[in-house]
Amino acid sequence: MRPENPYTCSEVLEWIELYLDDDLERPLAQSVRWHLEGQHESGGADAGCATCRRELRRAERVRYELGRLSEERCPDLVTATVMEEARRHDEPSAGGGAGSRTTAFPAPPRWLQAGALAAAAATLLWLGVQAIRTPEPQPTAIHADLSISEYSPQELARAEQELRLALGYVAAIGRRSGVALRDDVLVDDVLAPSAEALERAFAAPPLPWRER
Amino acid sequence: MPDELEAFGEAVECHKNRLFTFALYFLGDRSQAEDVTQEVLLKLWRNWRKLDGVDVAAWLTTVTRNASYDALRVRQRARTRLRSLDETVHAVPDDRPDPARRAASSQLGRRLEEALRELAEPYRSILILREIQQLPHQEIASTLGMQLSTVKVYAHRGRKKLRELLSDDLDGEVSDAS
Repeated sequence: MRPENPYTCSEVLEWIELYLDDDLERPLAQSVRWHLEGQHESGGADAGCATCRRELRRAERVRYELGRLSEERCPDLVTATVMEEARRHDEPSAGGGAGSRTTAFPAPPRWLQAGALAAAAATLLWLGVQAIRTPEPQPTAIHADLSISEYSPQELARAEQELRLALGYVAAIGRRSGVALRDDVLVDDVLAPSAEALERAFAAPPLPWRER
Repeated sequence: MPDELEAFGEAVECHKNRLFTFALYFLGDRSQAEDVTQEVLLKLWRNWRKLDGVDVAAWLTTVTRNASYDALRVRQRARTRLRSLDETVHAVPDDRPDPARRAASSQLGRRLEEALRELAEPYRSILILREIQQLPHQEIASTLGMQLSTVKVYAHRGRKKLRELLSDDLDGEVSDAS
């Protein structure tokens, strides 16, 4: 028997989510179904409401896509850190008041650890560059006969390697902490002045990043 | 103590992925999600003995949700501060899904993740718990301290909001004939 369908499109559209969740009363659900899909058993050409049916398909598509969002695996580093902290510090707290705390200090967030390391690395790098750029004091008797040319190629290579390592470390920390150092900032504000200072100080050939 | 540590380790293994997943979809930032998960699991250890007889799964969900919300507020404050300082170094965390996940998911799936993060609370939490983590409505209700009917209404409205947010994307995906 053809059910009554006293409902408007706006009412049906409001019920689509409940309809998909099977949360509507049976008579109401039948009316919504008829509104959406029509009745073919009587031989009529009624194919239901195309607009509402389209919205039903959109709702089904959203559900389908939501269902495809999968559970993610927690990185092992997180659990290893947690277990290490739990082992290292102390026992869990006994059943005290709600405000009681153990002596275990909460581990600082990793972005804070990374940020502190990045700041330290950047400071060291900056100090190194400043030391190179600072005008030499008047030569004294002790180092008057020292000159840049006395640095061996091995020492220069090692200095360059250390600088590269420091920069690589800063970049790695930046990636780890989600901080993006823009190339132009890195090159113009950090690498270029460092390279110029090194070139001036050591009369060295241009460093690779100066060839950009 | 060793027994407690062992039991704690088992609890960590049991819940870690669920907590990380919630934080990841809530925040959209893997690094922050790792921080939140670590913080929550350490909090579990600090409260281990107090939780005897407590539904640990529900407790963890509540704590993770609160920690995620706090992390989100901190990030929003940091963004505001950075903008006002006119930083030369761009330090705004990237809240798009990470590259591996971007590559693995469809265009609509990626937009869906973004749209999910545009939802206000409690729509976002409820949809993550219901649709991604497949928790029953009743469990969500008891975890969030809401009536069952309220959770259902939020879930329905949340999905409807998602449909509205994805309207342009869905236009190309769903045809009248389907």
